[in-house]
Amino acid sequence: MMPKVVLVTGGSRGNGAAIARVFAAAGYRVAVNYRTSRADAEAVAETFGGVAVKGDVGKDAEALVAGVVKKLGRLDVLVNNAGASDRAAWTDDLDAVTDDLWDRILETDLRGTFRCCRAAARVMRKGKGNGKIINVTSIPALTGEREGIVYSIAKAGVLGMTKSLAMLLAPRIQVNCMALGSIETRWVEWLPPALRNSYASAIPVGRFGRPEEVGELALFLASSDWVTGQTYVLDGGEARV
Amino acid sequence: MDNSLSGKTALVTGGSRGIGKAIVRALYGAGARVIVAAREPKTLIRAAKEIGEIICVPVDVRRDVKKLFRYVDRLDILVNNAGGMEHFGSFETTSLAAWKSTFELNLWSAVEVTRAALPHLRRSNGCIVNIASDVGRRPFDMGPDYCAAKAALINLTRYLAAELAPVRVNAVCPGPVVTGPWGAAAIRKAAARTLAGRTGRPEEVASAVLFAVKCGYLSGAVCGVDGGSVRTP
Repeated sequence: MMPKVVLVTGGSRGNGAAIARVFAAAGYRVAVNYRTSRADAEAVAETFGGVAVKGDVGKDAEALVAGVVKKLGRLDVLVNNAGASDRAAWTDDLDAVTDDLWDRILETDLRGTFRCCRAAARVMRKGKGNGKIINVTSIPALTGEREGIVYSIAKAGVLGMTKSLAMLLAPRIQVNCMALGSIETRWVEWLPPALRNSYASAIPVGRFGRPEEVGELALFLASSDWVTGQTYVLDGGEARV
Repeated sequence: MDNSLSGKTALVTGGSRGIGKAIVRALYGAGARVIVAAREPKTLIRAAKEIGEIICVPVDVRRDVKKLFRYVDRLDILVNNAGGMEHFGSFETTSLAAWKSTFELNLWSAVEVTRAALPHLRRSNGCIVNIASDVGRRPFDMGPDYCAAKAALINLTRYLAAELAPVRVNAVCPGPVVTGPWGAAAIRKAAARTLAGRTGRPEEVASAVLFAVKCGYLSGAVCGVDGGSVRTP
């Protein structure tokens, strides 16, 4: 049997790179997408014999998905991990939310996710088995957040999109969402060191999450034909929503 | 072979049939030592014959929690699975006695078992998985007592995730899984509630429980395994 193929968008570092590694370890062939960090993506893909594929999800999602299918012959799982991760978005100053910032965040996090879903669904509907789409949202989409309003708007959009697509694409394609809390990625590095400890101790589990744990959740969601339309919160017990 | 739970001890209540039995099988298959509590000795023994060397304790968790914990020497994983829908009435036809019985079976038993398990779980830095239901997230059109009891179990899960930390506490919410003598019409109606267009298999719920046990950053989470029947938090 041909191994299954997963496309991980924004796979050059952080959660995306870990998701890619976890799927590779489970026997998937993995396409590691990047926008600008080619060397990083190639280094990730090289560790497990995957392929690095260039593409900006907000602009060329269709070409990206088509490229993966051309290179690897099929597409079984899409993990929409790419996000703008723009430090300027973390502000409690409403006037700092310029149209430019709005467009930048929503283009990648919301429209990019949608376009990747649509492009992948076209391929998955033609395939034989079930397809899986796994989106990434975040606690602020569920609870609100004083800082990062545009981010919470984009991620709340992903929540709605996930549920609607689960309905639209049933029963052959399962669509779910991971709502991530504090994972050890770049945003934790952005925190002042003094704040890091107090943040971590406020999490019931007592630490930040590991990117590999995000990968494990993604792999579980990719394994079930009866989990769809769901939002799985992975946050060490922080939000309890 | 998966041996990731080797050295761990699990307790599964209501583990002799249906979803509970599939959970026992999954935990045992991952290498855990599994203690199984169930009411009927005969079904319990049958389950053991099917699965392997599990520790069978024939008790009713509504009253014999003390007796059950005589057989628990250590504990890393507690699965509060015992429960069930005893009445299928409307609010108007559900008596207070029926409400009490439903809460006793679906909520208070989980509370009592959790209280008894807590010293063990604190020592082992363990985890709890509560088996709730999709109708605890969004009620369906009958059994207000059952819907409310499962909603309470879900809320309790979120509460305990904070107070019992670093013990992890999660809920798994199965949708319709046919485990008893359902009629064809009931199965059709249940399947229609899902996006998948079918009822679930016990193994599908068990795999979510296994994930909740293994994933060290999952706590306070309410994991729907329901074919998409409920999509709200």
